[in-house]
Amino acid sequence: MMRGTPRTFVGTVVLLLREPARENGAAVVAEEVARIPGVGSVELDDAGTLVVSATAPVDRSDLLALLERLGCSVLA
Amino acid sequence: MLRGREQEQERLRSLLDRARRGDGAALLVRGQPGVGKSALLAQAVADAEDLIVLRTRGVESEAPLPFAALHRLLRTVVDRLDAVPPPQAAALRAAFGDTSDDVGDRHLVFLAALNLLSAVGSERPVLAVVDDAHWLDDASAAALQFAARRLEGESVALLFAVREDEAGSFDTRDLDVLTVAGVDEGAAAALIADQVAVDIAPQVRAELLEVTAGNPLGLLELTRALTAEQLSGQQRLPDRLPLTEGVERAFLDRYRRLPPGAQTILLVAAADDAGRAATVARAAEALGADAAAMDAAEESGLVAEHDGVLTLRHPLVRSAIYGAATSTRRRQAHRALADALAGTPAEDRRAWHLAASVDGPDERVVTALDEAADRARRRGGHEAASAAWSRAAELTTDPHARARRLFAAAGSSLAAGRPAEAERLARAALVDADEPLLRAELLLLQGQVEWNTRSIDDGIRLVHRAATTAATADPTRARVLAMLAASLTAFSSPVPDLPDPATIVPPPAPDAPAAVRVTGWLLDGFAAVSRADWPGAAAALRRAWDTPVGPDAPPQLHHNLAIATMHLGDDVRGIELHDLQLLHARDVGAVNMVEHALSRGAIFRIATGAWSDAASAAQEALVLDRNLGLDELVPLPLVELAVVSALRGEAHAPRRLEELAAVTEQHPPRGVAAPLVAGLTHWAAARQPGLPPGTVLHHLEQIQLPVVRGMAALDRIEGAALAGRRDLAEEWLDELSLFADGTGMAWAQAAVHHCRGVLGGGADVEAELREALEWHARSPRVPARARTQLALGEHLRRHRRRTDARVPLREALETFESLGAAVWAERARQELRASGETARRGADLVATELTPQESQVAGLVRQGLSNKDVAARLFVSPRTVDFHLRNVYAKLGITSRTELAALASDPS
Repeated sequence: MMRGTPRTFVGTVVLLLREPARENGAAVVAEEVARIPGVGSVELDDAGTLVVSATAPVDRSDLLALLERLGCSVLA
Repeated sequence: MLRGREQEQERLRSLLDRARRGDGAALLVRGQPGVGKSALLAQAVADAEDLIVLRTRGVESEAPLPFAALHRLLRTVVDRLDAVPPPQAAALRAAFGDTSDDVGDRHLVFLAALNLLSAVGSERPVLAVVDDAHWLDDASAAALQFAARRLEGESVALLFAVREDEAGSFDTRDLDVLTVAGVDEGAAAALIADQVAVDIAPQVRAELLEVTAGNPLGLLELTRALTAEQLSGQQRLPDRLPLTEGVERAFLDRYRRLPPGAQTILLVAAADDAGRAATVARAAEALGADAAAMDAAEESGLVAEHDGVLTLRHPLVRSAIYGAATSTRRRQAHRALADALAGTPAEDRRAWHLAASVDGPDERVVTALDEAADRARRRGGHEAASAAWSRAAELTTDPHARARRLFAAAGSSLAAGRPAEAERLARAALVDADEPLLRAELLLLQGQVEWNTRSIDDGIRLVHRAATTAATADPTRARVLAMLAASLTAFSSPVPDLPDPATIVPPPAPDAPAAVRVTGWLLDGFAAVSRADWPGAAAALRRAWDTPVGPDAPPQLHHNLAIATMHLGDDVRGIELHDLQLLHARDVGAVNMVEHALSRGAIFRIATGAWSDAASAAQEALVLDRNLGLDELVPLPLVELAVVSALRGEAHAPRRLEELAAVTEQHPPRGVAAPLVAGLTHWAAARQPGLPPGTVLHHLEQIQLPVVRGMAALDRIEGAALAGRRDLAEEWLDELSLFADGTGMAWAQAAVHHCRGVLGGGADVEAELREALEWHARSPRVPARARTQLALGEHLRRHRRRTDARVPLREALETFESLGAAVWAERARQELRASGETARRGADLVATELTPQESQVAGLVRQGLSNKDVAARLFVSPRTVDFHLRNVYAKLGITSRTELAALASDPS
């Protein structure tokens, strides 16, 4: 699909972030992502695996934009 | 005409010449958007009047449509498919959706595409042009990359254009690259002059040259965007943007000046770049655009219609317009497109537009995506199937159904060769999966990724957990999983802190179906192997083998019944079961299973002295791995060839080992093959000529896997004794003796008596060796028998019983000669001479220098296969077979298949 194709989701999405969040970084990223309306739970491990579960529809582009703002590039 | 592109055009002309000469190649044209890649491609097409030109391009919105771009490339030549081996032709038809068959292994599609190009090229040279390769759907990209690396000797030129900033999934490594930069100053000035009638102020021209760095699209569009006052330098220029954004901004400004209807048409066209004008018009009409709007859109120059196809001026027009639209407008456009496609055959396209049009879960959309996923899977579009199933999951409210869809997506990613993606999808699925059986399958999938790409121990842990998870809900399935964990453990070593897999589920009831009971015995057998409980292992495995199971038993069961034979060294059964597996795999065109059956079957043949067969199977596996790019599988067949070479004492044996070292450094063997490769490598290393006994022992000590220890038993124990390590020899002999007594395997009993005889130390040497020979008579391991005969002959000759010595020595010599074991044969010959017999000179083995491919082709032609059959068997093109065969004729000094078939010995 084209970049920016609308993609709302519910349930769980697992992303791989390039910069494994260091020290306080992980907590901040998880906290910020959890604030997106619809996001129910967030987990981020040392390897940079981000597990986001949405209980109500979340626009994937909102999630990606937030991660970009936080300086995390998404590998996959 | 193209300005300032002389060198680039020269490269393209030489690519065409290579196709004309039958020396095909691929070339990748790479550069920024707008730098003129498509113009160069068009020039190549214009220069290729005498060639058959096939064209396609990657289309961003087609990413989820498997083989869409490949289909466009080949649609005019699919009528030549009868020149392609039939299983491949059938796979290609299924991949293109011409039949509703299952593609099976999609390597067959790749081969069909390559061989079709090859067949067309043999009529007239072919130029295949692929523009915007960064947007190819994954399946087409994989097929074209496969072809691009195999054009040697074909009359085919393959030309790709790819954006510098956006390689996508298009792997450009090891392709020839032509990097296209901006044009020089003179050409740039001429391009600007072509655009405007007025005089341009020198500082404006300098600014344009600097901003665009000679990028022709940038020069045209940015010049066009300037007013006459700006061009003449009377007004200041707009703020500078990076080139691509600058061009997009110029396009966007033009777009925004259009009436709303025309904008709608352009947005819809941007949302579906497949370009069916009728579809776009229908969708735009539903959004309120009228016929006049279409005219306005065309007049803007941003879009053109030709033969019912709408083409945007440049892909940057699309990204500019689509990127600037709000998500609500985008959704509307996708919805209108979905509606416009309703009732057309473009169901996959419609499903994806629907998916982009909703802002939350929607069962109707999910159903459409499920169907698209299933079609993609059947066509061999595993990436597309995975994408459709994960998108369907994202729109599913029910957690259970969501987890099932993510599991399906993970399975497809694995099939596509994307283990990391499969792992992530499985992880997402596990969040929702509450059914124990589904959780178990997800854990198994994670385990499979783990043991194949990272740690075999962690892989076993995951499979163990899978079995435990399924234990209460479905003991039958849990038993299969526990059996897998036990089988993996038996090939590596027990994982610390992990309970015996045999304790996870109770044994099956005595009246349970055969497949269930067999699973239980296999499980017990593998678990016993890991404990070195040989009587237990032998009893359980024999029960498993002796109980017939139907073909619909789980594939893991058949597979493990075959692999279990290795633990007892039951060569006869091992060969039989792997040959069956091979037959079945060839029938269904399952490439990976063919490789597996060949490379595993070769191990038993090494043990029994069927060395030509072993080498031939290993070579076939190797050719297949190399032809299909299955790099991670190469080490096993390669080490098998090294072992055969070492056992025969061939002059080039050390070279084989060096080649193996180089390959394993690049592609370390993974999973269960790793310990096998390691063990065989040390065995082959120990059998290199002229090594001091200490070095030999050093290698032998590193053989860990009991399977290989058994195959190398005589070398190990004799080697330890020769190195003065009698203690070690005794220890290893005790180990072997426990195995022999526990399993009753004749080869092991024979080896025990042989070693007792050879080690001497108070034993009745002759009696031991004679008893060994009695056991050998019941074992298929011919090379070991010949070694006992040699040892007996040597013993008798040393005790001045020359006449008695000659009998076993003659037998040993005959066997070594027939095996081609030159070093051993020479030893037997010397002993025979010492015993007073004027030994005849052995038939000199003709040293041929056939490459693996050549000897493989020669072997199959000798069996009576036609070139096309050989091609299908080896997964290459018939032309390649012909090429190798001609080399074989030249090297052997013959001129026909009849002569080749009549050769007395196997030339390989």
